[in-house]
Amino acid sequence: MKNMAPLIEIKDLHASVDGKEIIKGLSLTINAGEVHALMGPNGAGKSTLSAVVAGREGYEVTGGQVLLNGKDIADMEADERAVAGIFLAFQYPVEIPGVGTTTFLKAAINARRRARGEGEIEPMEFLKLLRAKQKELDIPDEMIKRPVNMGYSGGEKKRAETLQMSMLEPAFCILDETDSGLDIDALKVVSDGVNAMRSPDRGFLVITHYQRLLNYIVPDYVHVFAGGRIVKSGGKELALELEEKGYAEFTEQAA
Amino acid sequence: MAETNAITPAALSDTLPGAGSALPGGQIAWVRHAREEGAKLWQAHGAPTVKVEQWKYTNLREMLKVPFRPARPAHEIGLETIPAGDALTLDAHVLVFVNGHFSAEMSDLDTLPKGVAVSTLATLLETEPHAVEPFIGRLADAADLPFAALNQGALEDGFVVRVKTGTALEKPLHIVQVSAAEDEPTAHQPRNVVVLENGAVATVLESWIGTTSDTPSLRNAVTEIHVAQDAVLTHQILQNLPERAYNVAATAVKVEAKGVYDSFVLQVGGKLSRHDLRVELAGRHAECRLNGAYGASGTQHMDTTSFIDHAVPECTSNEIYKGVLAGKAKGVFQGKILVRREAQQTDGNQLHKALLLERGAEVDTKPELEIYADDVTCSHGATTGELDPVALFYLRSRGIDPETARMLLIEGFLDDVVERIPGEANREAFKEVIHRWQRRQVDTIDPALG
Repeated sequence: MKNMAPLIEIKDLHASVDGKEIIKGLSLTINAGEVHALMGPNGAGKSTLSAVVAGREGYEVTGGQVLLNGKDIADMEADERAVAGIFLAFQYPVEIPGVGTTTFLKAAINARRRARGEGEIEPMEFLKLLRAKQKELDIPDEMIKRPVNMGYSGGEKKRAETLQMSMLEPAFCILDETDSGLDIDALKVVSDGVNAMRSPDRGFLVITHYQRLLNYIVPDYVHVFAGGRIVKSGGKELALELEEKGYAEFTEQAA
Repeated sequence: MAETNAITPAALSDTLPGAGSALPGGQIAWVRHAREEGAKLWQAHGAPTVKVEQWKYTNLREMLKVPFRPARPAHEIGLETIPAGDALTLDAHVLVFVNGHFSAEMSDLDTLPKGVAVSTLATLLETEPHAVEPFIGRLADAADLPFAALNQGALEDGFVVRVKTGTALEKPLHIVQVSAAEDEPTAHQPRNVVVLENGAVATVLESWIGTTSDTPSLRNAVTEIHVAQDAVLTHQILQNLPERAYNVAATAVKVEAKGVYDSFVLQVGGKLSRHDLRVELAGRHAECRLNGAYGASGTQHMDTTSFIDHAVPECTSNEIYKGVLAGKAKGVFQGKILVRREAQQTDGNQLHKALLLERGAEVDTKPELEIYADDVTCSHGATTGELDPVALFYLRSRGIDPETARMLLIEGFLDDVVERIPGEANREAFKEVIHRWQRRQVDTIDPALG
């Protein structure tokens, strides 16, 4: 049954960190099947938006709404949002000593399955899924044997984020500066992984400072984020325009 | 024991045997002397107060108010079952002691291989006193460990394990020690001996458990361990006593040349538990690995005080202890490494890490290096932290509920020390206990810390 509400609807969102307003009336609608790019100068609050949508503590929503499939997520905890289909690929994935990568992946998969009333994943099924995704993203067993993100290079971390995203099959993915710290090979691997996940049932918000990533993950829409709100929207050509002219025009406008 | 806290009679004196008690070995001069000496030292100095440096962080006031009497043996209490589920579970030769006395009915010694002798101290004091004489009071110095003095004053029973030269005990020996509470507060004071002769190899497990009761109990145990040349002892202890139990235990070890003492101690039970662990590295290339973990919640108090004595050159010691504290629990870690003048090329490393799950929890650490040799590699470190909120958010952002996320992080915190437990079955047995402990915590802790 097709849900007629947009996948994600952000309405006049205001959010503060430590009492300082960072997001000042942002509205954005993303339908299933669409890839939106959010571009903007550093320090504009792009990552704040991703944290607010993912439900990180310490980020206060002072106005507006975020709807997932028409449902307000304000009262949902981070894990509830994840189970409901939101996935945030971190700009800086966290190293967690002592927690095995497979233990972690299984716990994340089983959390979703429990929410859907399914039993825990069979060990063989899990292994098969993991192997397939590892191959797709060029992730050696040696990485999987380590604790979560421990000692990974920048590129390995982003590949691991993509692996998680791909195994968890979220409905809405936020890629927060996924291109930062990536060389061109890693960028290609990660982009291929993301592109393989594009589907009519899934939406993406790609947050980036540079146009480069968008050569690989080609967006349907591009938004310019400055001064706490979206100041301009357009098609993929807008990204090229930004690459050429920079953000100066918008930062002045926002200020 | 520099401080004197002379109360007449000293606290806990009722746990000492009265004059004219018919204790095993009472007709033997050295046994009588040991008891008299122990009792005399205890009466002279009394229980240590927080003014005694070694007891600075562990206040015994509440415990000393309890009028403990000597516990009776199991058959007199009528104890037929033990809370075996609290003990470690793994394939082993099982011996059960209740209130310090051997329970033949609950033990299984038939399959012990040749070269391994397990007896009770009470029996040996009657039949072969000369066999234990060299091992009583030699390592656990009654003049230095107040509770060892009290224990020695009540010298009566315990386990004695002897592994003959070159013998390898394949299956672990598991000594389950039950504190059986009675209607009145009772104390028992087991005195244990483990001797590994040259080249012997054995794994000795201890589970300290007890029957649940509203009545407090006190376990004051002393275990003296000799690891002879080339011998390897793996010694693992689970302290999982019920919540009204007090536990004061001293494990004193001597390791001869090329011998190895490898220990792991997990404490999760009891109201107040103090474990003194003393290791003397007495022969070249002797080695000790002292690892441990503890989990405390509510108002539990857990104290690990270790003393590693590098007496000769070229010995190695490695020690890692990790504690997880919830509620208003208090953890204490005091670790001293002494490197004597002649102990050149010593390699000694020590680390204590504590994780505080709630604001009310507390930990006191006192690492101490005392080095008189000049060619040594020694290190020590201590850290105290909370669960990393960023890691917690990361896990939750993947759909993992907060309880499971906390459990993963706590397990992750303990992981490196738990991984040091030799033997997969043993490791799994300890992990199981840790897992159960955690399960109880995450359901009850105040998540205010995130």
